[in-house]
Amino acid sequence: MKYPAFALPIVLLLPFAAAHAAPDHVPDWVQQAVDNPVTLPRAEKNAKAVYLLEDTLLTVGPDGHAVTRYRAVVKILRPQGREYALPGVSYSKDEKLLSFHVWSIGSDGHQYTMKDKEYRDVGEEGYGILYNDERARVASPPGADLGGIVAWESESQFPGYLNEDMWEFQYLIPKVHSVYEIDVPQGWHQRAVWFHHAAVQPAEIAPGHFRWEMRDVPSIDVSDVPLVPSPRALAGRMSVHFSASPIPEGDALWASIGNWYEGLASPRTEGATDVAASARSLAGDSQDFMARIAKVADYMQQKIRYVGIEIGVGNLQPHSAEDVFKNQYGDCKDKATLLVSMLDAVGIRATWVLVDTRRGFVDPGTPSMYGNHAIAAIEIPKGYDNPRLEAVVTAKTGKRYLIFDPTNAYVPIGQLPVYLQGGYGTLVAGPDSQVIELPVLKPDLDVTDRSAKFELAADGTLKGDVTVVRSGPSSGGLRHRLTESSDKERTESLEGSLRNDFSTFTLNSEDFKNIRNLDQQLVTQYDVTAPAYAKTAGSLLLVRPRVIGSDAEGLNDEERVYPISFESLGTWRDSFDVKIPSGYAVDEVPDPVSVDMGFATYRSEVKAEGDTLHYSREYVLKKLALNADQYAQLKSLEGKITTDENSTAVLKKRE
Amino acid sequence: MLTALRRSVCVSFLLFASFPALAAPTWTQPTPEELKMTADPAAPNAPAVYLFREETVDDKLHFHSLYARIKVLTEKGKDYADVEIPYEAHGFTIRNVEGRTIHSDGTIVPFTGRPMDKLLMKSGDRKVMEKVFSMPDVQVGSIIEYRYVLAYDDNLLSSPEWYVQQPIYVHKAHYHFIPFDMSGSRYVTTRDSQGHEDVASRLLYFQHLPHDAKVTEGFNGFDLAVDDIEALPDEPFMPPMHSLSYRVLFYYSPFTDGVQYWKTEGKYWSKNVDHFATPSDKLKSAVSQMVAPGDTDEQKLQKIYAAVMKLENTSFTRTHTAEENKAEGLRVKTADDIWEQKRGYDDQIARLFLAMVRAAGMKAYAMAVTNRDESLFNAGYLSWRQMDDEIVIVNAGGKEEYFDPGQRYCEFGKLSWKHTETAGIRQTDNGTEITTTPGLSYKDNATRRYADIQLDPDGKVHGDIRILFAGAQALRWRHAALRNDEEEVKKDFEDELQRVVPPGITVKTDHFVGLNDYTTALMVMANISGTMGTATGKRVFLPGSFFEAGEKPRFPETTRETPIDLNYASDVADQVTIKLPANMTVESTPQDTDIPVQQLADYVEKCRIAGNSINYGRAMLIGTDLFYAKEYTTLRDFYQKASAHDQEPLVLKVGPMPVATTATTSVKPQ
Repeated sequence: MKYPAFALPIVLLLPFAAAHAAPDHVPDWVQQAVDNPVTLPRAEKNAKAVYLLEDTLLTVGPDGHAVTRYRAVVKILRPQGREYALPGVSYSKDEKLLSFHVWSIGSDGHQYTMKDKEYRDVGEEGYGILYNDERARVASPPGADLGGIVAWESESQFPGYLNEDMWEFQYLIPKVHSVYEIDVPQGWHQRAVWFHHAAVQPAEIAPGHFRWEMRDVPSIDVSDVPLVPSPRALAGRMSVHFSASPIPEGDALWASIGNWYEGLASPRTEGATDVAASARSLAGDSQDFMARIAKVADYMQQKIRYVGIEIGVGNLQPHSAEDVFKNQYGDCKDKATLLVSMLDAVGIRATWVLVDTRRGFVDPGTPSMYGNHAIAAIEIPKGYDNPRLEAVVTAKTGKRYLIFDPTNAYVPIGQLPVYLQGGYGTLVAGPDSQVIELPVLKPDLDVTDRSAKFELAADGTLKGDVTVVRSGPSSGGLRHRLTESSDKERTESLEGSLRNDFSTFTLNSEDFKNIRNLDQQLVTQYDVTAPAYAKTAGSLLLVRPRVIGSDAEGLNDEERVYPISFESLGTWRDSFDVKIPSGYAVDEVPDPVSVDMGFATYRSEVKAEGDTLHYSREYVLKKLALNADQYAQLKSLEGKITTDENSTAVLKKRE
Repeated sequence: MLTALRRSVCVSFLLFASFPALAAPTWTQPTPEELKMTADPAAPNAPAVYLFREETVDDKLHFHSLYARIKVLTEKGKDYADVEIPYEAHGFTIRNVEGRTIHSDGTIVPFTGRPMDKLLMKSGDRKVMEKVFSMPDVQVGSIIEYRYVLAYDDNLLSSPEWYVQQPIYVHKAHYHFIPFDMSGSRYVTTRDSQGHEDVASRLLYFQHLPHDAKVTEGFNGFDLAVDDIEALPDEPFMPPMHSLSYRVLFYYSPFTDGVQYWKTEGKYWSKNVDHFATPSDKLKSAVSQMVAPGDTDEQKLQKIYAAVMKLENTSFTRTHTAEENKAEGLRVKTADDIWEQKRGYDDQIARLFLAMVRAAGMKAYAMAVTNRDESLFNAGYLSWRQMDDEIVIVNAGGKEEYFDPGQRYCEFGKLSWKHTETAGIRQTDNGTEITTTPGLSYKDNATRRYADIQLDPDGKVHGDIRILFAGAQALRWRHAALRNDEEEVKKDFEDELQRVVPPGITVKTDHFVGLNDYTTALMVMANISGTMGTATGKRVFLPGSFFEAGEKPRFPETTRETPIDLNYASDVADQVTIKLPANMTVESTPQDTDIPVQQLADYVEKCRIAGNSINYGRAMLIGTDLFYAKEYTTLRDFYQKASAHDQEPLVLKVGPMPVATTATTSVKPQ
């Protein structure tokens, strides 16, 4: 919670001292970047700004301490490009800031050099992070306007506990010239791995000094692109590993990363007697593997609050299981650590999986320790099986693991949150560490069933009861929102969603069942009255048979460049009965729809049976991702769904 | 704002009182009822409630202390376990953080963690930190109990601001304030928002409290006890209700009361304004060149306003740094400088307009207003920080007119809606006074939407859209164009329109007319294409209202606690023509409709068939910007009925395409 101070404390504000006179000349490297003629390709005609130069140099000392020097020159091409001309550098206890300089050139050609006292320092915020020691030094340079140039240079210590750096040469705006250099001591090694770009060979411009260079790197512009993966999962990048020892490649490098993390995290699980006692108490006498892990998992999900406190290496290394248990709070890696520790106490082996919630960011071809989340893998005893074990992977060792996210309190053990499905992660298993593909749950394991019985009056009023039953990981998001909502907010939220289906309505009653009972389906039941639902047109009464809910995605007509990414696989089914008013007969119903696109099927039908209009449909999504060239197919499907959802049945007054 | 320094108070004698060694306070023993409470009948939807909250301020000993007991009722309520206390780093510290969590079974888990200091912002000599800590083992049903002390240097005072109404329900709260002793040789200096230093001789306070609560003053300071305080409301379309929350605000003041405060502060402000807006010879010369001797006051005003509107208003582009101004040899001391450099921020430009009008020989006054989109002016709250922007009042031909030159491209003689019906301080012939600005009529905020649509036999449509905006909407888009380029604004406009037109339709903005011309309505031309409506074997159903087909009902919630703020009255009228293909005829159209809400709103819709065209007209008029909570049902009903009518379809019969009766000439390829 944000707690306001009693009163904002009172101090005298001192005006900025007058800037002392100093010659304002940009450095040569800035001037050279500015002087180089730039012609952006047509595809970049809407670029808001452009990096004329981005240049990173990582210098590793013989003692392993490293320093990063970063330089950037940005030109503002459109007024809204000002947002890219805000120099800044992060620093922390382990990434001490050594220097920061900012220059700018106004559109009138005037050159400026900013003074130290003109910079600001701000704390960095992260979702759920109560405290971290990361700060940023930022600047608002003069002349940062249309046609203006902003340049900055920073030097900061590279964290001593890391031996991998990342060169993100592709960004939201184009880059004319991007350079990455690493200088390692004699006898040291470096290995570069590439993501979404063919490997580029470096030039060794001096012994141990390697230089990679890119020119005219296109932007990743995902604004207004529907169903698009995270830009971080699309942008090209290079990870460079450096070490005094030879650096393995491929699977061996993944193993090395996992092994290193195990050394960092594993001690944090040890020596907690309270944890062990609690775990044994939770597991009870049950000998069934699933029952035992479910008890511990439930405890993690229901009792351990998400609170992030990260200092220095603490952004990678978990707090001790003992502390997490004592405080009953922790962040993702803390929760995974406590889980590992508790399961260990009841004789079940578990470990960490380092992942990223932006599906596609972690790539098996790009061994790297970068990611934004930690979850757990629980080793399944040989020969054991249980229908609840849905999110299972088999490692190269032949061991089977149940993948579980203890941070997500709304997806039960056995399943996997949708944001993780189909991604990759580092299974931390000592020398057997490896990259694993996270499971994708089948469409029949993530189901939404909407059913309703309505009665239509001759004046067009529709009244009826609706039941929506959700099962599978997709229901986790709704369970979360409902849990965090009051009764009033739940009602208002449901009313808000019914706006999409009715122009006028009254929600008479509503009920939500099994919100936190993750083993049970999430059930929403409500009773709604919608005056003027059916529209009168002379002797006709016009009814939309698809009364509630939509399966359509909002697409646009822009040329598709990026792949298509769905949130999850799943099955959505509707079954609605509308009893028509006496004195009316069904005159026309929409044609049935049946589409099979391979990656999805959609079937819908409206039938008149006696005095009832019955609408049924089923939409099954079978693939998580499509190529950009399948966009036309998807649009065709979505067009058919939209048409079906808005189609009209005609009732006619009997003569 | 031209000046926005913060209220500051300094003790002029260095006091040698040190922070006291407080006796270790005891915790409160929870009652069995508190422990077993799972929901609170007094706050049925609350995630958590304050069982008790106490703020104690001792300006003699230079500390504030807070003690809180919070009952967690839901998962969401666990958020209250994370405590974040922002404070100024220079001169202030947070100390003595203590706490404990009590489970519903009575188990106590003491807080043994280490509170951490997090940097929020450091700029120049100013540094704002935040003390953060998280309470241990907090579960639904827990009682969180914590306390801390904010201590400050001996040469500083910090009179309290008690915000009695909190985001969650408060069962009981107690506040106590021991002010600094200003008797004898001790005195307090204050610096107001205008930069004036003065000796504070009194302690004033403003209170807005429930009718049964009152601050009492005794030998040992000020005291307040309150019970059962509702949580701050949070509803969509709500006026800035935080301005009306229960509170008590104390001030060390050189003034005897609020009347004297506003009079004196108004005088300082007015003097600043007059100094800046001096009708200098330079401005007189400039004005004499832009107006003709025979011009009426209105004509002079129009010309001056037009000249001022041409200047770059950096409030809508970018603030230029002192370095830039220095490099350009610019300085800003008076309106002359703004005129000379052709740019300034909103209040500077307003003052330039004021100066030029005065230079033209007219009586003109500045007015500082509270922006109604953010807060409401409260005369009992003795702070100039309430003032956001400045506007100008001109006496033209014996009648006072209001101008908003600081809002670039605001229509001549009109105010931006956020400056309407709001209070503030204005200059008068005899000083200053608190007054209220005029409102806007629905006629001032007119929107006219035209669509000319051709329906093809295959169900595809294409056509043109023309939309004219006056008033608030025109100003919104013009300001957007100042902040971004036209391409971006076209796209934003397109996205906004796309959301309301029928599904299947694609909108492309073609161009704007009058984006930089406040004297005319802003016109947007757009093209549409795609498909519209649905079909069965015999019929085609088109949406009855093209511009509202995708719009959702505005007020789905059935209940309402706070007034409804629509920002401004409005008048939206549509004319849509749909040309039908030869194989389609009209089977039925929506019935003509009028949904009036007396004095407040009206909705009219009519549909006519002319040959093979359908002409459809719709008008929605909202006559006021603010509705009382008791009018919510009426308002909701109005919008729902209008929305229901907007969804009435046009029903077309589909027949075979007529056979061409005249021979056509085919051209064979050569």
